[in-house]
Amino acid sequence: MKKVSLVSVLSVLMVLGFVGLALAADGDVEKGGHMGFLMAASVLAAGLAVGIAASGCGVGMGHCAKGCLDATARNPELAGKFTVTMFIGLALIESLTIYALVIALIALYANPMLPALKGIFGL
Amino acid sequence: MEHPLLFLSILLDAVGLPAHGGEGLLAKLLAPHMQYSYLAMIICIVLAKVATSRKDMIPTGMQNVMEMFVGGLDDFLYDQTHDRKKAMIIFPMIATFAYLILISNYMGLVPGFMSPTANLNVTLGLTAVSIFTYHALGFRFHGIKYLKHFMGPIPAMAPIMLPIEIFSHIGRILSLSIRLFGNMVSKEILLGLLFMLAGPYLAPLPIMILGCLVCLIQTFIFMMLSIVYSVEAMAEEH
Repeated sequence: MKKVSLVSVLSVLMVLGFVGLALAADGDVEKGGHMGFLMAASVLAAGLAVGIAASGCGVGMGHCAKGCLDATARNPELAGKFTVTMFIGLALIESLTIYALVIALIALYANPMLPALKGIFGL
Repeated sequence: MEHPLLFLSILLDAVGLPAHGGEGLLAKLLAPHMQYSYLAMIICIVLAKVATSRKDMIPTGMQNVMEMFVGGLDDFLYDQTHDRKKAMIIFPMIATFAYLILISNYMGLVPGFMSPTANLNVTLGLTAVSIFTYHALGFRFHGIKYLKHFMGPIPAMAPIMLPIEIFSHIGRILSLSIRLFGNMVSKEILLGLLFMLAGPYLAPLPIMILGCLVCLIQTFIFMMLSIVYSVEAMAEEH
């Protein structure tokens, strides 16, 4: 529990730091600040998306491997079937992280918001 | 993401055709992912022709290998459907998916080639075939009653179930196409990053071994999900 609260405090601090950065950028450069903030937010979102998705998928894949090992220990002659089923399950779980990765790549390389916001801010 | 070296693009450049995508119908038809999906199709057709050119009662060589694959696929389909007739209806589509996607995926591991499946357009096309086929099979087996599948078991719940079912069917399109595309493209990006950052000799080797496994498993999963959807559409109502 202690660790969780530490992580949340750290993330709140980080967000607050970014707000200060954005405001400073806004003061420094009239038009470029919002774009810079949006780009920074895209990079941050991409990293966080893959990180959070991977942590959840790691738990899921651990459960999957645990189940397969338990079953193999109880019934070793069916090990081949269990392994095949486990790999299918692992690939299905892994694809959830891949979705997050695709979202992250979209945010990094093909962000649909950037051109629209460029128009709005007159860049 | 543009590959640095593609043999077919260099060949087409030498002939003087537009080989790097862009505007215009010819340029779109000859974009790199299209070139390599044509190559995968040609390999599939040649394999089938070679395997069936001399059919013996006692198979040898190529025919033996292909009979093993096709027989295994047939048994697998029968295990899933428990009905010889239904299995034979979807067998051509599933077998084509298996060969085409497997060859396409493994093509990315050869230097100078790319996986056509590492492009969202190709996987969306494959998904469109699968989705259209299972809806068509549903209408063929149940007639207009197939629409009842979308309404849930209880008639009073239909207004709630209908949007949920429609969204789940749209989600199938996205998940089926993005799963294959994302796995292939993430493997390629990871390999590219390791080549650039960690040196070209031994660092990308573990990812390449993992890539071999991922190619096989993703083919199997695409095939398996197509089978499951088709079987579900053909199943009798409870």
